[in-house]
Amino acid sequence: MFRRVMWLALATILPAVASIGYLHNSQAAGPIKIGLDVPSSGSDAFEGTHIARGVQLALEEQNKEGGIGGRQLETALGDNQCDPSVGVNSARYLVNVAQADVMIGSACSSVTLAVMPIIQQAQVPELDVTATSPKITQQSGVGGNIWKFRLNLNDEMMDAVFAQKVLAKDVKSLSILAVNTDYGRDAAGIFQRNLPGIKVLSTDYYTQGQPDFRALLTKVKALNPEGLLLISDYPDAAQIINQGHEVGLTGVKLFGRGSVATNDLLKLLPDPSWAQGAKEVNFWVPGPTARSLANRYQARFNEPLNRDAGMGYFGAETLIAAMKDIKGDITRKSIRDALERVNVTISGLGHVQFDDHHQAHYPMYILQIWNGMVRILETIPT
Amino acid sequence: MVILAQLINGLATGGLYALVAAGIAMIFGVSELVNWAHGEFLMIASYLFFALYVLARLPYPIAGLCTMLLMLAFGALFQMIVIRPVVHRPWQTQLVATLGASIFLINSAIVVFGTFPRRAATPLSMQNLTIGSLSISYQRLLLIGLTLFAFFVLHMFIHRAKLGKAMRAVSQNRDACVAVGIDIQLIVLTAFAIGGSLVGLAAALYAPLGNITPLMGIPLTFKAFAVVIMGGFGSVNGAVASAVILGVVEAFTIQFLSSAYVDAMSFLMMLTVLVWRPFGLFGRQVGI
Repeated sequence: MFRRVMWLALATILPAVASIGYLHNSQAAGPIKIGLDVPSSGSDAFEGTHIARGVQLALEEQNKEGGIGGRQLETALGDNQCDPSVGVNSARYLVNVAQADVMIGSACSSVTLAVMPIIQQAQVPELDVTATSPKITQQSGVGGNIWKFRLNLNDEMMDAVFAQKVLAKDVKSLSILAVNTDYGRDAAGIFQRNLPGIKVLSTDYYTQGQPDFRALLTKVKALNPEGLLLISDYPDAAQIINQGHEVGLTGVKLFGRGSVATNDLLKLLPDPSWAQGAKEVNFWVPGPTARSLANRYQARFNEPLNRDAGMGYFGAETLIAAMKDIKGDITRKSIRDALERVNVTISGLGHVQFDDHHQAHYPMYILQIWNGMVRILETIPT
Repeated sequence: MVILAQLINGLATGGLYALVAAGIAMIFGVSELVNWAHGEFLMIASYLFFALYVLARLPYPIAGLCTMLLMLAFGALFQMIVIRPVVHRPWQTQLVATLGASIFLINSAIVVFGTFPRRAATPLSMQNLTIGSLSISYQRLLLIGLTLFAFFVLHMFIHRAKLGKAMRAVSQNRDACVAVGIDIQLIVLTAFAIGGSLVGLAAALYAPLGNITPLMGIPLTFKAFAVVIMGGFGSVNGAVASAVILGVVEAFTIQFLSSAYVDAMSFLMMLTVLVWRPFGLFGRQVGI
């Protein structure tokens, strides 16, 4: 009787165990899901859209080569609208519903900081490619959130260098206009601490996407600064330059931190000479080393490669390099561990390796708008 | 000179707020319905103007006039498709309908025009009138002048024309209007059409001065609502007066306090007015 019960139990349990093994294997053979935690609507949609296209191109190219370990790479989109309250929900969607294995984002510093506790709780690695607030690095890696990584350089790394190498040489007085976000306020604070010998006449914050800057620019004009530092992305920066021209704020030297010295900004100016000489520090620019990528991107999306699309591509490439290095199953944990080990040279960007605070280091660029084009003045190692 | 420059900045900004807010106030006056998609009317109108002026290369006055006429039709169509089915429903249903329409319009613009901002600069927006240190583009002078003219025409229409008088009557006593045979549906449709044409004018005047983006209507919607509440919900004159006051207060807040306090000042002003006059500056419960 006992033997019969044992056989019956085995006959029931074995197929069940076998089916669990089968299910596990079939799940492992499914696609690797990369969550895109970026704004595809809202005030920063232009940024998220380009990051997503860059990621898409990298994944398509890798999938043509057979994916990773025979598994295809696919994306799941969570639109964070560059709004922390929306971003928290879209991140929860990506980790809990879409079951992303790894995420790229959140693109905006305020959203990134809001989402960091969620990825830590869910134990999902996330790689940032454009958010620049230094708080993200301070709170990542050793002693902080071990699931957060950042590929792009942060404001702490770039702004002090730009202040000393460029601003200190070019002007004696300065007004600062910064977007009223974590990124804008943090960057303005770093500049203010690193401008010895320069008189900061005013620091004003504006709402991203605000339609009218004329009252603000009239105030700046009355202060008569030698330079105007815009901590802005190109849509707002273009508005400021256009409206500055209207209120007669001409002859002031322009500086930027965000995406000011870019081809996108030039497209929004009726006359490119209005931004002649504008200088900016940035974490990447589509230069000669990225010509092949620029051509492939143009062919795929019928538009020129810009900084955000390039960083999206490099972010995906970094993840791919990390995942290729994984010996066993590709899981959230193994991807995180592989990102900590990653040590790769990415064509068009540079050498990528994350430090203790999960921050990558590669050269920064000093850019300038000159005769309607963006030129690289200097490349500075970090 | 700085004071004068800021006064002009405030008047121009106030003029834009007024063109958006007048439509909201008028629509509420005759239908007691809050149109949360009204800011998106301005966005749609701006893209229409961009299509006519930049893509179709129509002369500026014709592109502007066509934008107004198309928006007049858009306003009427919006009333028939979105508003009419919910007009007798509770306010919550109306709120969801207009908010839903707002989200639909924003996302439609993203799909059709993309996320990259568009520009529709005119020769007037590129040339400035300079007097001493004061510099203002001819486009903004046109904006201030035509806004004043538009409100004069609107005032005359509401107070002199038969349809305008009917609109005032509906805003004051709807039941009495039904009893004497006034077609309420036609009045509401007219309010939406006029509201649409006003934002069409705002787009033709303002789009050359800034970026055209799918989200451009949102900040204006909030400011316009603050203006409408301050002026007295449903009062067009109140909305216009409040818009001008708000624009000027904002400009002087930036000049003498800080840009960081602009929004706080706007809503503090609104709250102060409501404490002082609970039904707004031009104080009746409804009525255009």
